[in-house]
Amino acid sequence: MNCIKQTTLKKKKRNKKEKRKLHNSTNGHNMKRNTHVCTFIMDTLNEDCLFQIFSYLNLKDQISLEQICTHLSQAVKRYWIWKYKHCECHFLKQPLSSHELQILLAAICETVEIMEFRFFNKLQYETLKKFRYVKAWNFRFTQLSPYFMNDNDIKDLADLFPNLRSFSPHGNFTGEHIKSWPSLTDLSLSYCCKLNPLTFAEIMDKLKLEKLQLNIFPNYKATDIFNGLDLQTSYVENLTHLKLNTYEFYYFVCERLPALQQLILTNRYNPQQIFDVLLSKWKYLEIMALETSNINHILINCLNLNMNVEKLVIINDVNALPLNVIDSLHQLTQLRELSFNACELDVSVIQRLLYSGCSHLELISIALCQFNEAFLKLNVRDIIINRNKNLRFNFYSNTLENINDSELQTRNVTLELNGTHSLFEVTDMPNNKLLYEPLCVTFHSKQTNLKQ
Amino acid sequence: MPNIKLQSSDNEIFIVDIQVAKCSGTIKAMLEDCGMEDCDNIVVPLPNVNSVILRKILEWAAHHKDDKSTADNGDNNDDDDDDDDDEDNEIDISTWDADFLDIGRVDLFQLIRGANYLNMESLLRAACQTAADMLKGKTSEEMRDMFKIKNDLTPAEEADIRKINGWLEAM
Repeated sequence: MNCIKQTTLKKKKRNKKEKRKLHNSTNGHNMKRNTHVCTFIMDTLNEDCLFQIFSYLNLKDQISLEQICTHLSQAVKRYWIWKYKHCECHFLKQPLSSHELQILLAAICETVEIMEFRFFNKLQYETLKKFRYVKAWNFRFTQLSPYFMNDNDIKDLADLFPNLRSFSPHGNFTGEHIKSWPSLTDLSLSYCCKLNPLTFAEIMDKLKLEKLQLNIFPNYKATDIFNGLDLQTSYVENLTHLKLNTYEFYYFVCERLPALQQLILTNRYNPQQIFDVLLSKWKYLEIMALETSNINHILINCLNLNMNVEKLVIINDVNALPLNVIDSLHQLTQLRELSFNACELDVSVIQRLLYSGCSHLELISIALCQFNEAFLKLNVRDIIINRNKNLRFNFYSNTLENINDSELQTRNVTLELNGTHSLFEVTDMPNNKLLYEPLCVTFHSKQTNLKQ
Repeated sequence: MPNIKLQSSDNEIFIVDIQVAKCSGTIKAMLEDCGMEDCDNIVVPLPNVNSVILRKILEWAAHHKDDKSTADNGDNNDDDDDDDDDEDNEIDISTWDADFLDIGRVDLFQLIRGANYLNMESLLRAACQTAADMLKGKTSEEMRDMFKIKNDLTPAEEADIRKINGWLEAM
């Protein structure tokens, strides 16, 4: 892969070189001065300029540059220290030899705060172990199979990263030794394919976790034991973020989770069960926002339970807005924001929603949706009728798909406004914060005294 | 159109349209801060830019004087805070710009310095990227050769690096 990249780059280079040669033959005087370039670069360019040049080079090129001379070496290292508070390496995209990695790590080990290594290999891991990273608080990595790290490596890592708070390992870890790494507060165990449920229970007992991501059970070790898992003695008071599958959700549902801010369910769930049985008995009054692909059922629950939901996001729904839903929206008096992302929608239904006088809504957002017509025509006068609050209408990159002559054609849906009004504002913004998980529940944040 | 006089480090005086001169953030700020309306009699000394480079820079400024936010520095600086490892922050260089920047390395680096001194963000970016393009995909040896940089690593350091490299390549 490296070779391919090198040769294509060289090809590009050659073209440029030839071009340059052509030019130099007319401006021959440039050639003579080249011998002075050495000190010249450093004397000419201040650090601003050098850093800007470095910023257009990939890490491998930067490492090559670092080895040219001591002046440049120092400049590159200062650049890294400035740049790589957050060091992210994708080793398949950019294969670094362990020597190259060592040059980088030696320069940044005392200052780096976040490290993300994708497709880490054994040689690179050995290089990593040559340094300590006292300021690093976040370390995540994935490995190439076969996984070379085992539980004892966690012990080594705990020594290399004494102040780590956020950890997302990947490999055949059972969870042993994670429990005796007291600085950890944010743990993602989704890629620990051999996580032992009993060890996990110990981790929950020993560490004061704030964020936890599982989505790993039931794995082959957990078939029977996990049913009896008991988190009674666990430390769950600080948990603010949970990302689980429904299977794992059951283990937390008996717990009081006073700090919880966000719950994400990662697998397709049975909404009947989750809402009726679990969330309704649990914390339904504290739910502030919901992101879901199942508006119909969620809405029924919101209404039945008198929930104070302020924000609804509907994603990937093929029937995102049945007519009865529009009527129900009137009854959700706390609702302020309603968003559709990647849904299938009908022009007439959107018109009806906007004209229906849901005057409590402050934002209606439609993004990346598929429409049945190429134009969405709106009468602003009909929208602002009965309205005393601003309404922002966000309309971003919606399309109409047609199959013509068995060829899929996509065109953007055009928004046509008839009239203007100061209460009605149109914007055109993507919604980047969406998770696209089956269910994401955000709870009202309470003033807790948790330390960060 | 009012003009302004710029004096290069080798004392050549350039008479420049004020709109063109304002492509330089430095000159623009100077004119606005000092509230100089009548610039005809002012000579601005630019001790860091020689006449060859200044002529070149003014050529760029004349060509780009109608661009939006040419002298807008600061706003566009945030494009390099993501992973530049993927070379995501590359900008498109137009044909005119590419031809303009197809100059010797010495001139290119002086141009970068001039653009930095005069605070001309678009020229600085295009020139820095052109310089970076010259380095891309090259080994240290090739880069060193290109810049004719004398290797000031001690022989021991050099041998050490070679040894590690050789050992790795053998694996």
